[in-house]
Amino acid sequence: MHIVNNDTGEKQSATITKIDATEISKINRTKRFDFNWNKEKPFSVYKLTVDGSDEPIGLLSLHERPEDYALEIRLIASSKENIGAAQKYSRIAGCLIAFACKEAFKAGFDGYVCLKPKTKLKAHYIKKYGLESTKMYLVTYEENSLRLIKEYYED
Amino acid sequence: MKTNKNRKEIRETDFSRFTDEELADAFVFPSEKASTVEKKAENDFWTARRAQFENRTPRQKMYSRLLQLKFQLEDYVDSNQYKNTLSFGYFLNEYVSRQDKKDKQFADEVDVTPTVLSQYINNHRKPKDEFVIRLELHSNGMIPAIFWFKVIQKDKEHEIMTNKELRQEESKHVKNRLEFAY
Repeated sequence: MHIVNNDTGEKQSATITKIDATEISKINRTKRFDFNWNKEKPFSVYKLTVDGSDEPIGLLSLHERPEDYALEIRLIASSKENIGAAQKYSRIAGCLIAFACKEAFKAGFDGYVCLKPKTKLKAHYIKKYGLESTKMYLVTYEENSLRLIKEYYED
Repeated sequence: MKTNKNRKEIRETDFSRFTDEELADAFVFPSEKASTVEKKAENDFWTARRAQFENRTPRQKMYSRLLQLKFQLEDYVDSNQYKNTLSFGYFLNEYVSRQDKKDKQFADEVDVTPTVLSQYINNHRKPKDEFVIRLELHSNGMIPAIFWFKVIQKDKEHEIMTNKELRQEESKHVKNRLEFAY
């Protein structure tokens, strides 16, 4: 998995790891991320770091729904220095979505991942990640999830 | 009057500074509390999802089981952890059984005898490179040979680090040992 350093144009390896409640509190206190991540403690929270650095640049909260054979993305945030045109690294959210797809295959859910989008952003998620639109959710599964994994995990 | 002294303020970004595309590139926003109508739509959505999953064809189920194995194996070989239950033999056995095949049939498909396959599955024989290449070809590239090779390597690494008998056995062949402290 890699992100791209926009200053140099170079690919840099990135890693996603699960974090516990203590680390969530710690990261929340830094105020480097939008939203109150303490509210995500009942769910599975992951951080994305550039290899060689412990500082997270992306966070993901996943709701595991085994009874529905799905993973629901509750929240994703890039760190504040990685939003908009001045962002240092690109591909952060894409890596986190691809990670969710991989976890959904590992759980035996056929890569089924969904998220409830803000209405005005829906078209952008569909275009960028090939998500499928339903009334309430955007979803990815099977071939599209495999495609996302290939795109974000392979060099 | 209540004091806000202990309330932690999380200062948020001014999202209006960014285009929708930039926001979609950086966030999935938290969803708002669903109304009664939305709750109903949500329930319908999950009911449909469950039906979709439960009505998969046997072929789709097999494909799903194999992809699950592929990603479990990939994550395991890329991790630093070692689990003696997750041996080459374990993953090979899973690969065969998830296709609903008998060992004898699979042995024939990869041109080894059932006895040799059984030895691989029970970790009584180390597979040769040719065999892991055959596994890659058999899966049509879904599980690359390098994954199989890495799990064999992981088993080997553990064995070399923990084999006390071999150390004892080889001890008689070593003399004039270094006496430096380290």
